[in-house]
Amino acid sequence: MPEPRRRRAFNVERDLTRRRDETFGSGWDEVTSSIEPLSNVTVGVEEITITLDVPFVDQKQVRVQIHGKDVLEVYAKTKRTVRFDDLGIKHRSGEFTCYRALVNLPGPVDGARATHRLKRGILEIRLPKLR
Amino acid sequence: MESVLVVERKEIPQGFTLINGLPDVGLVGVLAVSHLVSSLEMEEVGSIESEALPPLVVLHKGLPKPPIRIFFKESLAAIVSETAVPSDTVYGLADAVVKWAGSKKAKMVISVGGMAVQNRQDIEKPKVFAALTDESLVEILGHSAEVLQEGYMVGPYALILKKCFDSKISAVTLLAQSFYNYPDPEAAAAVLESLEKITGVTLDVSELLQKGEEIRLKAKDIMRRTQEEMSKMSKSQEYEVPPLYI
Repeated sequence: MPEPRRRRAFNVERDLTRRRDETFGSGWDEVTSSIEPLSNVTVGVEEITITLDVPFVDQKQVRVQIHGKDVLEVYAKTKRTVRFDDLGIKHRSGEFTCYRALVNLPGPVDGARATHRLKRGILEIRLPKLR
Repeated sequence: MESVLVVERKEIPQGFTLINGLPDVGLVGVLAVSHLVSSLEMEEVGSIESEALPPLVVLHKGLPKPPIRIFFKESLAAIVSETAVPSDTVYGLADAVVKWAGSKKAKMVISVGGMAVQNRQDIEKPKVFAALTDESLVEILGHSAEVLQEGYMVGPYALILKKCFDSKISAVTLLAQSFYNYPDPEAAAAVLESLEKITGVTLDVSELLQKGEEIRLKAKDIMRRTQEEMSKMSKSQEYEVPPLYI
């Protein structure tokens, strides 16, 4: 069965992000002023839990979307523009204003029942599995 | 086993307490020992060299530095790494560190790190656990950490502890509850508080807590590389229960 167009677009974007990551590290995208956060996926009996490390983010600035049934998109705006220079990184200049992540989920989920919380700078997204 | 050398660039007196801060769970060891080194203004006195390490130097104030360095002040020596330790270097590294500690008649070897817990987000104050080479160390530990009685340890600290045990060098591994693959400055602060009680050194950990978000971003890349190495070492086995546990 051919891959749906939207899914294909996500896979292309994810692969480009990975390639950029392998080349430059840190998952920074200059064009969108975004950075890819560290993340973790845990598969439970009833739900899939995704956590993302998002320092400098406020809960109100988080947007979580499910595309199709098994692609998660997370966008989280930072409280301020973060410049690499502010972090003591001098060998490259740049900044970012948000985190962006696209996660291919290991199975279909019920996006309508998704919940998320931000605590200790970690965004936790709980996605009930579709049976 | 890859050859690993401890290089002393300045004379280091014998009888010190050695503190290890190697990249591991939550980068707790690296964050804690880096903070210790800068707080005490410890002097750079040596490094650990190996062709098995990535071919890199770290620039500090414009000068090239090896990624794994040794610092010293009064009776404390500290090893801290600014690069993920490749899994195939772990045996050589542990061997070199323990042989060096033995040759310098180290009073004690203390490794500091993290212990991943799933509910870390909900823990206000991470607890610290300790693995020991000798029951008599329980007294030194006091109430600073809870002794680990059973379980697996995986990685460089596991080998350092075992080799210290074999070489009859007193050793303690302090592990604070932490995130697995996110840098955890709060856990680093908790483990330093335990270290304070054991060594008698006074430290202010408030900067680690106040600058936590910034530290986490700065440590993001080394965390990612460390996670790759932890996977190769089957680090997740630490969650498992040993079969002979009854």
